[in-house]
Amino acid sequence: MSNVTYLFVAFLITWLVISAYLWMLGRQVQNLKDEVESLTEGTELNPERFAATPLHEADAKAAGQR
Amino acid sequence: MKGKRGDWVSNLGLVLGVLTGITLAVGLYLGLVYAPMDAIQGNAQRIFYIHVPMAWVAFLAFFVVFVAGVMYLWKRDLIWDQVARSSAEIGLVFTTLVLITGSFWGRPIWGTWWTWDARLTTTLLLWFIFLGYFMLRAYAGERSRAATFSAVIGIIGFFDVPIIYLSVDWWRTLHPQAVISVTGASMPGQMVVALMVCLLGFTLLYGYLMVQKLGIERAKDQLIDYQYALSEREAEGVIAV
Repeated sequence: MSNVTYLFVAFLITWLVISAYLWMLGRQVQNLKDEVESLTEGTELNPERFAATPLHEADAKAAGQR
Repeated sequence: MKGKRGDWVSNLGLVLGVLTGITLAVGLYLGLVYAPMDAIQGNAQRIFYIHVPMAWVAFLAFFVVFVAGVMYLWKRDLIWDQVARSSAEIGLVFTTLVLITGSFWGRPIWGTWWTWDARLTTTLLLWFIFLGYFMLRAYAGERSRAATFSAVIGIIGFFDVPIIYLSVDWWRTLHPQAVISVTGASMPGQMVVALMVCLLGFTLLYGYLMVQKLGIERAKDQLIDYQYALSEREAEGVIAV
């Protein structure tokens, strides 16, 4: 391989990995949106109503139930 | 529905995204066209313009993990865990790329894809530490316990970063020493300009990825809380799903 080929492949891999990572983040956002939609469907609940639930309190309660 | 905070974050993400795209495009032009070809290494040296900025971003990401880990252990606020795990993931991606691009640079210059040189070995160690960070999170179970364990790993893991940086001074290595220091740069001005623009571009890319990833991690935690609240109300008979 010539020096230019190493340069080309190194750049190609870099941008492919970064693009794949960005795509993966986009998928995660979409999955979260789908999950919120499926949860709110059929209920009158607003997700924002529960967004402020103290996380440690929720964890502690969940641990207590087990 | 999104509210003022959501709009602000969305705008920040947009601005960072545009700035990142422009800066990286200019940086790549400078690195591939404007900067002169290295007389000894030839065009393979141009890998430098992505390799060094990505190493910088990885170090920055793990520094953020360190700070967020300390803050989490001190404040016990899960926002710091969200920051730490977002930054750790980005740091791991960039450390992987640093190892790969380093190999593609090393092969034509050193004649080998890999050598157990001090800098390469300590960088690989950092990669394994943060791989372990995510494995530990996956098995720790409860959020607060995962956050505590990973904060400790993140803090300990960060101590490898100064070792990596100083490894070329402490040990005799194949890897070259730093070409830019506080006393100046040991390369032509055009190369320095190209490197600086690429450093800025990759730092902006880190900022952009952090905004996106942090938003996702916050939303994941809120979803867990929401599911928990929903199940509580179901159990109390407040709602019927």
